[in-house]
Amino acid sequence: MARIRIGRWAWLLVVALLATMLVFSACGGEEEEKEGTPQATKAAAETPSAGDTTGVTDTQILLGSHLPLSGFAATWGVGLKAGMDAQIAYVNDNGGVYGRKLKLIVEDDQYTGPLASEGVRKLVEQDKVFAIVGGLGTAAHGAVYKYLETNGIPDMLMLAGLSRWTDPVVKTRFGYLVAYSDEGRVLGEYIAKNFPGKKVGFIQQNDEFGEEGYTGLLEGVKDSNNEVVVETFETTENDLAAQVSRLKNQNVEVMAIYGEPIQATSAIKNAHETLGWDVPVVITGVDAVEVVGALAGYDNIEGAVSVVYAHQAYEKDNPGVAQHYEIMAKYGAGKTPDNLTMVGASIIEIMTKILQDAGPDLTREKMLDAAEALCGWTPSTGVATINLSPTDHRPNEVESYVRATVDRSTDPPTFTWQLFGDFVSFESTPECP
Amino acid sequence: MFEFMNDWPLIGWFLVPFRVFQAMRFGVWLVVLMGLNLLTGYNGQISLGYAAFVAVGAYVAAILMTQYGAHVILAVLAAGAFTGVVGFVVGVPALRLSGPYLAIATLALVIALPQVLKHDLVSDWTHASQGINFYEQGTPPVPPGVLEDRVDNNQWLYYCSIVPAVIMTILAWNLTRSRIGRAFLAVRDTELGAEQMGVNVALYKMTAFGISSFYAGIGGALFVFTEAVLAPSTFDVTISLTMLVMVVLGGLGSILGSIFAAAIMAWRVEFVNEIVKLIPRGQEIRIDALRGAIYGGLLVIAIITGPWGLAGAVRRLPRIRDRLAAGKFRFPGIGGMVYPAVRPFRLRRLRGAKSVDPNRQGGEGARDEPHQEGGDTHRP
Repeated sequence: MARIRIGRWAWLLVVALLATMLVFSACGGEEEEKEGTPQATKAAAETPSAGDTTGVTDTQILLGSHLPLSGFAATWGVGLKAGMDAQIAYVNDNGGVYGRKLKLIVEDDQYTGPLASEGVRKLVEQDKVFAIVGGLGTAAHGAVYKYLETNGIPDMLMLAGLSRWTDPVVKTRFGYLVAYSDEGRVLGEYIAKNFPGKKVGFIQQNDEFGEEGYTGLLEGVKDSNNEVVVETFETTENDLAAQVSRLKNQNVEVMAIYGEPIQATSAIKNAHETLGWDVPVVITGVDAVEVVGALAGYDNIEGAVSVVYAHQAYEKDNPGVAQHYEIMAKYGAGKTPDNLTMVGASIIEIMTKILQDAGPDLTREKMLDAAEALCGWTPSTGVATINLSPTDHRPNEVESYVRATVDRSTDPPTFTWQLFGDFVSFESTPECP
Repeated sequence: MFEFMNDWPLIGWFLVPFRVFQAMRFGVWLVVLMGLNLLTGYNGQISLGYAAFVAVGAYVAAILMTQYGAHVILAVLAAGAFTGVVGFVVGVPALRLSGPYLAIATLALVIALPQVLKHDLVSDWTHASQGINFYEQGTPPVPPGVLEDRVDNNQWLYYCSIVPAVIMTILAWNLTRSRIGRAFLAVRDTELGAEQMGVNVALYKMTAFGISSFYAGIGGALFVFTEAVLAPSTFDVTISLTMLVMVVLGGLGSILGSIFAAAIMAWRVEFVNEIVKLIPRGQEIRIDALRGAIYGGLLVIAIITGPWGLAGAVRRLPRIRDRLAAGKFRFPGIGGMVYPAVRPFRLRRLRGAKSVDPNRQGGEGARDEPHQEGGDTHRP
């Protein structure tokens, strides 16, 4: 008997809770309208109103981001966040921006759309951030970019390279990664120059990232007579032995890979180890990070060619890189500097520069104008100037080729992506006004 | 009207638009997880590919709304019906499989679906890997004319999800207490016994698949309507497995369990965030790297201390109270795991198959008892 009674109590509690939610969520709206608080979710103008200072106080500028801090892509999110946090601590220790300290809240999206959408809504509607910075991932950011655009929230320095997000330009949205189509073209040009007339096997992740890379690569090789055959894979596949083996059977002479580290390295490993096939490899810049060396095996990946848009963590002689090492040593809470922390730090460095340019009376409008006016300035670890304009929202438009290099003189051997050759520029704003 | 209440705990909470959004997500997950609980909890068929049905429902609704201008209510119902039929048909091959074999076969569904959605044959409808985006290919959901100034966007979406969620919960409540529900339980507990009692096992297994897919379809449609963005990667293997884990955590074979499951699903990231915040600031970076371990650790603790989920814990409250009064209470945990193995009532269970005893299935207590005591066979 007692059991049934408690069951009823539990039900009553649940019903009461649901009823409370129903009634008071409605009342909540009325309260807000009375107070005149702007409703963040109301579909309204594309650009924020002139005096929009959400997230800015006299002492603080609140920024938000969504990164995979858990799940299979956590390596990226954790590394980037470490770099961002360290750089923010460094900026704040040096007086902040016009006396305001930066504060960054990172929401964990586990690299998925539904959680990114939830996290970003929390940042915008509850924490009321000034801007979203460095949102990562095609799928994750794809779930929120329109929400941010519709509500006029600045969506700065996205870590996603879909060209359709920055072309046509939207006032509130700025990229950071090189557009995948540009990157694909640069890699295609490398193939056209170094392997003219040879058959190219393209391993493509079956999503927009892979499709854009493929379109770019085709454009890069269009003037040479390279034949391109395609093998696709899904992100749920971790072993690409079948795809690689089919390419080998088609007598492919160069292999180009557009996939995330796990799959890209699986392809390389299978080619070299399983098939004993010493094929030259060209790989997307997304994978030009240190971890792929360990994933693929140093002997297998050595000699692979990729592209980067910034100096690499191994260049400790570079003043910008050296400064990053110092910052990480002081504020990094024990995290070893690598290319990911450098990207995180670089994003905050660019953001700080934009906020400084926007002046002491900071509003969203002024910040966006300052971002569009940013031109001829090089971040400490950049390889070229950042040239933005009202028609160009892509900061990184110069790339350098890198080659996977193993230094066996050290113990254990060290793996790096070594810069080589001239920089390739496809800057759409060559001249600053 | 109730301004003085704004400072009250829980009430003020709902004044934040984001909380309303979370509550809306809770409604969506409630419908989705209720369906999975009907299949796995009540009928005992383990499905790792449940997200595939949710995706089918979401796509059907999204296509109807963006490309054929269907009204949302029509689209949601059509999505539910279509997915229900798909589920019923998928139930046919599932008849020959059970336990881990069925789990693996259903896993194949969720792995195969993204490729199908990206195929050229259907890409005119599904827009391949780019997916469907209401902002670009239709209109994002906004409150209709009458309500426009009275509720904001989040509140409108909240009503759109919580009203169906309440309806679907009542339906599930009635279903599980009807002839069909009792047949589900009988099939779950012992197929042979159910057959001997005249239950058409094949039909009820397929029906369970069909009904749970109907819930998945409705849930998926609500998801896409409230989210306005849908891509083949939205419902992947990870989210499919997460759903099953949530249902187990909430409580298998229990309506209350589904409600708990939806709550955990909606607030899980925030919960772990709060735990991470408890760690001193200087160490935060290392804790970030441990988020996955925190999830896993909490899961292990939850399964050990409450093998029947939160709903099971609530059900056991009176028993604990009795034991406390008698001075016989034993704390859950490792001891709690060993304890049931030697409990005398396990002998009672051997004397008769209670779960198919028609006289004992009227009330909540009687229905849940066999699950608690003999549920070991159904633990995933």
